[in-house]
Amino acid sequence: MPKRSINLIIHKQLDTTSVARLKKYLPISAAASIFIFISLFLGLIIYINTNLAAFKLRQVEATQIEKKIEAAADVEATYTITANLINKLSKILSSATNYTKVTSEIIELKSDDLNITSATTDSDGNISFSVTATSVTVLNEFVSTLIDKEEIDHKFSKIEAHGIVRDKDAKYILTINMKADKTLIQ
Amino acid sequence: MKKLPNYLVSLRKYEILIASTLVLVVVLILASIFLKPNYLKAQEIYLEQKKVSAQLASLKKKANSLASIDSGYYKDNLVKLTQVLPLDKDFVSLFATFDMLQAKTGAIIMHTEFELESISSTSGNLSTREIRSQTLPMKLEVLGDETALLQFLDLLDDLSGRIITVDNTALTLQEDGLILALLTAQAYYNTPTKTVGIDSPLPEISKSDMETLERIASSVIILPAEDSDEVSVGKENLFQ
Repeated sequence: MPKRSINLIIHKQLDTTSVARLKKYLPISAAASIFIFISLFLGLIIYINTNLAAFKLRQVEATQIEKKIEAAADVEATYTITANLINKLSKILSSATNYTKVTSEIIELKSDDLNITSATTDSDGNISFSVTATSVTVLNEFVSTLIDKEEIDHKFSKIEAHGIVRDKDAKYILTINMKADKTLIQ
Repeated sequence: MKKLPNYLVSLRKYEILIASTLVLVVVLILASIFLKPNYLKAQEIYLEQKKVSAQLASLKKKANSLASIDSGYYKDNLVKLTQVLPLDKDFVSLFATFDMLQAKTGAIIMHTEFELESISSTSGNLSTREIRSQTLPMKLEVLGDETALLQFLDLLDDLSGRIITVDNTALTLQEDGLILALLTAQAYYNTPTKTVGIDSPLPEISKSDMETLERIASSVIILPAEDSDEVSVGKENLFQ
């Protein structure tokens, strides 16, 4: 009787590459996720307990300081109102125009033979005034003085004279527009 | 030998995969139940703590600043400061300033004209224009000689009385040598419009502002309060 052999070993079914990979990495991922979960959970519990206590302490401290500040409400109000007033005052002063110098300069232009009848000035330094002179010579001298004030003293600029009128008393009336230097209106 | 069913064979074959997946799912469920609320709470504590820390720092700074303030100095000078820049229109101090200017310079205020925006109604007082400007526009007619007029112009904003600034001037030189000046001017007042929180920092007073305050402290004379006893009163009973 011829000898027969029977293969009793079950033929192993090989896994596909993706299944093999999954079998390798999925258990590692599961273990890692458990570890991460426990770590995060414990970490958060520790963080909450520690910081909640510190937070409450700070809140208490803040409340105590608030009470201290409330007790000094009068001082705060006085100081704050002073600071606000003085701040506004400084702004007003910095934008204020002092007309003393420019007015003085205008008045100084008059003489015995030349009278300044009216003059207007504004905060931009624009000056407009009317002069009455007894003669043309006086008027010429006055114009020379103004030119000197512009070219030598640099007190005025953009000097413009408007039409000379001779009135019934033989006086000469002249209107002049000019601009004052910044130093005169500060 | 009995052959195992196919599903059991597959189950045995993929038991590791199934168990790992189950663990991952359970961890995800646990994370959403336990981790998420704790994370949100921790985040809230972190943000609140940050807020409280900043508030605490500003409160400490403010408390220290308040402790270092010489309250007497500011209290005394606030009275003088409000004579220069009052908290309301205060015509009394304005006319007192006019009187003081006339007495000091010798110039005479011939005419005063105010441009009033509102007089007494509550709604009028709350007009936005008024709050924004807080100025009292006016026209002053001042008569005096050259020296008096120049001194008058100089003293308007010297901080010894109500601060008045001039927008423009119109001079008329009279034949008698006197000068009539028409001044378009403004007086000011400053109504506090906003309230500040307890943790808001104190406003800073700069060095130049302190110098201005010192100037006011030395130049302003406190106006005496009106003595009500001197005001004559009528009969208590009108029918007697």
